[in-house]
Amino acid sequence: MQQLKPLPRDLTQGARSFPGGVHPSEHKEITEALAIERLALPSQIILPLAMHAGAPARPTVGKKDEVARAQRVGEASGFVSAPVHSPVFGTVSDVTAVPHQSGRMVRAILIRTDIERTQEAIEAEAEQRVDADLDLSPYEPRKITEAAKEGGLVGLGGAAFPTYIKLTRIEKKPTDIALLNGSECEPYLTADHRMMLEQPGAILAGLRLAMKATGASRGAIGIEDNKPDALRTMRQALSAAGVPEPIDIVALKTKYPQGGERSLIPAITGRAVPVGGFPPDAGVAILNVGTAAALAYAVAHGRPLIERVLTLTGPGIAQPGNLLVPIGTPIRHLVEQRGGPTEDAARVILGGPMMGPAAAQLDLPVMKGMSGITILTEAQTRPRKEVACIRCGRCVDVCPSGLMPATLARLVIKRRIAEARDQHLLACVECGSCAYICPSHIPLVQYLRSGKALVRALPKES
Amino acid sequence: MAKQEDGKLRLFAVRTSPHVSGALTTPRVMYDVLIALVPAILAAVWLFRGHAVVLLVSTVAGAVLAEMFGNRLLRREQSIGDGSAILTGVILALCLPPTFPFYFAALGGAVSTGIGKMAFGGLGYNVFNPAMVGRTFLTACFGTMMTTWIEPGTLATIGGVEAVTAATPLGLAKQLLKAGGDASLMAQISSQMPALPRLFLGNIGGSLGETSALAILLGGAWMLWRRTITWHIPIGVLLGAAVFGTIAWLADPAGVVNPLTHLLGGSMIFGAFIIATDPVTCPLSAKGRFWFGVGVGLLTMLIRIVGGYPEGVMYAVLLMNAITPFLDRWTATRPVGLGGPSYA
Repeated sequence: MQQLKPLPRDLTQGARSFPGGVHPSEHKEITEALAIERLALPSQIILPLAMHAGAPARPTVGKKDEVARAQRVGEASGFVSAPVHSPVFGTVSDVTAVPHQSGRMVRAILIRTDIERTQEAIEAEAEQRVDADLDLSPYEPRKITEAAKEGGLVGLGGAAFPTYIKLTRIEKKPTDIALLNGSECEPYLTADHRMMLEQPGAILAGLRLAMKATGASRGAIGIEDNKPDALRTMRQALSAAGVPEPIDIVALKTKYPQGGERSLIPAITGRAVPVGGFPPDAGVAILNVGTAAALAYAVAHGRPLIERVLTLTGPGIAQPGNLLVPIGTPIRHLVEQRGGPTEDAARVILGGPMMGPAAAQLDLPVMKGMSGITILTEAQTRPRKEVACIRCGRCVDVCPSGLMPATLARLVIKRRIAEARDQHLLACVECGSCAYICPSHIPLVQYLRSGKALVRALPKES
Repeated sequence: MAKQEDGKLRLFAVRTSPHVSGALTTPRVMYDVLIALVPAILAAVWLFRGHAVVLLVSTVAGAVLAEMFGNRLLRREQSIGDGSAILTGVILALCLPPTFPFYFAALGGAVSTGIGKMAFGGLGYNVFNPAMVGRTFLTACFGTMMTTWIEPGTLATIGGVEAVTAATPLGLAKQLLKAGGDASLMAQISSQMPALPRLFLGNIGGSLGETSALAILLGGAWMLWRRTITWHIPIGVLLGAAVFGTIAWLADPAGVVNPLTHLLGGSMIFGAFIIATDPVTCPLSAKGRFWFGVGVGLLTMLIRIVGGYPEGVMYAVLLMNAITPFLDRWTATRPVGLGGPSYA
C-alpha cells in the first residue's frame, strides 16, 4: 500500500493555493447578490441520454408513455454510466435524435410537460430540507453509494462523472479526506456561491455522507476568498450544527483554475494527483458543493438529480440570475424569459468563459453538468491576431500542471507528437490559462487539446 | 425550432475556450520596457546632453529602417508598431560611448535588427540579442571609438572645446590588474577610482545609459512591478557576478577591485535588468532564466578579471544566448504529480 504524505494539521490559517494560474476579470458582481429563483416551467423537456461521462443511458420509456416527476426514464448501461429521471409530470412525445452542443446529434427523450401537476409536486417538495446535523446512523456506506447511483448523480461542476464511483471505497487506495469544491473559479459563475449561502446545511450533510461512504476521517470545503460571505456562512453553519466529524472550511486564494481538482487537491492536502492518476491515488474523494447538496437530498429524501442551479449571466442577457431549473429545460426557454439574447450577443457559452464550450444556437437542453450559461457580446469576443511567440515564458509560469505550453504547442504544430507525449502533454488539464495569458495571442491550449487527441491516436510504444 | 422574427434561426459563432483573454499584448511588453528605460534615457541626456539625443535618434532610425527593409524583402506585413525595433535601437544607443559618431551608430542600429533579427525571420525567431549583435559589430569595426570615454558634464560645448576624456571604472580595474604588483602604479590607479555613491548615481565615464545604476534600477523596479520581467534573470546575473567577484577579490585584494565596483561599474546593472532579460533569447522556464542569469554574471566577471577586455556583459549575453536551447532542455519544468502523490 502506498504511503501518502500526511495531511496538514491546520487548514484554516491564511489562504491556500497552488503554483501558477491566472486572474481573469471575475464579473461575479452581476449575479452574486441574486438569490436562487425558479422560472416558469418549460412546455417541453429534452432529456439527452448522455449527460454524463461514460456510456449513455438506455431509455426505459417509449412514445406516448405517461411519466411522473422523479421517475426513471433511462437506465445506466455500464459501470461508468448514470440513469436519467424525468423532472416533470408529462407525456413522452418522442425518443429521438436532438442537436447536442458539440454539433452532433444525440438521442434524447422528449417530454411534454404537465405544468399544473408538476407545479403542485414542486410546491409539496418545498417542505423537504436537509440539515447539517443529519443523523447518519441509518445510512450505511453501501446505502449512500446506492442512493447516488440510483439517483443518477453526476458531478455538477462540469465533468459530470458519476458520483457513486467517487464514493465507492477502493481497497488498495484508502481515502483519508473528503473535499468539497466551492472555489467556483470560472469568471461570471455564481451558482455554487449562492448554494453555499442558501443551502449550507445540505452541503455539510452531503460532505458528512461522502466522508462516511468513503471512510474519510477528515473533511474540508475549499472556498476562494473572493466569497467571504460564503466562507462565513459555511463556518457559522458548521459550528452551529456541532457535527462530530472533523471538518474544515478552507479559504483559498482567488486564482483560476483553483477549482480544478488537480489544483484544489494540492492546495488543501499538499499532495498532487499523480500524472495519469485520479484523486483516490492521492487519498482524496472530491465533489462539487452542488453535488454534495444533491447527495444529501438523494439520501435523505430519495430525490434523484432532476434539477440544478445554474447561473445565466453575461452582458448578452438582460436579466441575469441564479436559476433553479429542471434538467432538460431548453436553453431558449431560460434565455427568452430573461430578456435575451441581446442584439449584440455574440457568444453563448455553456459554463464559464475559461472552459465552457460555445453553443451555435439556443435549442439545446440544460444538462446535468451545466453550471452556467454565459452570453458574451461581440466587443468581448473579437478575434485577436496571432503573432510570433516572443518566448516570454508566461505560459510556463501560469501552467498549473507544470508544463511548458509554448514548447508543447510547437511540437504539436510540427507534428512531433511522440516527443510531445514524452514531455507529458497528456498531463494538460486544458484549463486555458496559457492561451489566456499569451501576449502573442497564440491559441496554446487549442494546440495542446488537438495534440492530446493526436497522442491518443499514436500506436502504442511508437 | 424557434425562429427569429425574420424567420431565420439566430446562430452564434462557435470557438473553442477560453473565450476571454488577458490584456497583455506583445507591443505592450515592448513599450513597458521602453517606459522602463525612460529614467536611463533622462540620465543619459542630463549627463551627456546633445550627444545622447543624436545617438538615440540615429540608432532608432537605423534599427527601424532595417526592419522595414527586411519586412519588404520577406514580403511581410510591417512590424514597426510592435515596438521591438525601437526598443533595440534605444538599447543599442544606451550601450554606446557618448562621442561615438552618429552615422556609425545608425549603421549599428541597422545591423541590430537587419542581421540580428530579420535575417533569422523576425521577432521571436532571433537566436541572439539584436542590440548586442549590433554592439558586437560596432566593437569589431570601430574598436577605438567604442572605447573612448569622456567625463560627463564636460559636453556643454559640443563642437567647440574638446571634451575631457576619462577612464571608466572598469578600464581602471583592468589597468590595476595589469599593473602586476607595481605598488606605486597601483596606488595611483586606485586613487582615480570613483567612490561607490558616484558609481551608483552615474556621474562617471561610460556608455550613455549604463552609468547611472539608480536610473536603471528605477526602470527595473517598474518592469518587476508590471511583471514585464521576473526577478530570475537580474538576480541571477548579480548573484553570479557577486560570487565570482567576491572570490577573486578575496584571493587578490590589491589587484582586483571590490565586487561592488564591478556590480555598479560598467554595464552590469544595465545588462542584468535590460539586456539579459530580452525574452526571445533567454530560456522559457523560471529555473532556466535564473541559471541563464547566473551564467551571464559568471561569464562577465570571467571576461573582466581573467579575459582581455575591461567589459564583458555583451559577450556573456551572446554566449548564453547561444546555449539557451540547451538550457531550455536542462531546465524544463516538472509536471505536477509526476512520480507520485507525495509531490505537490
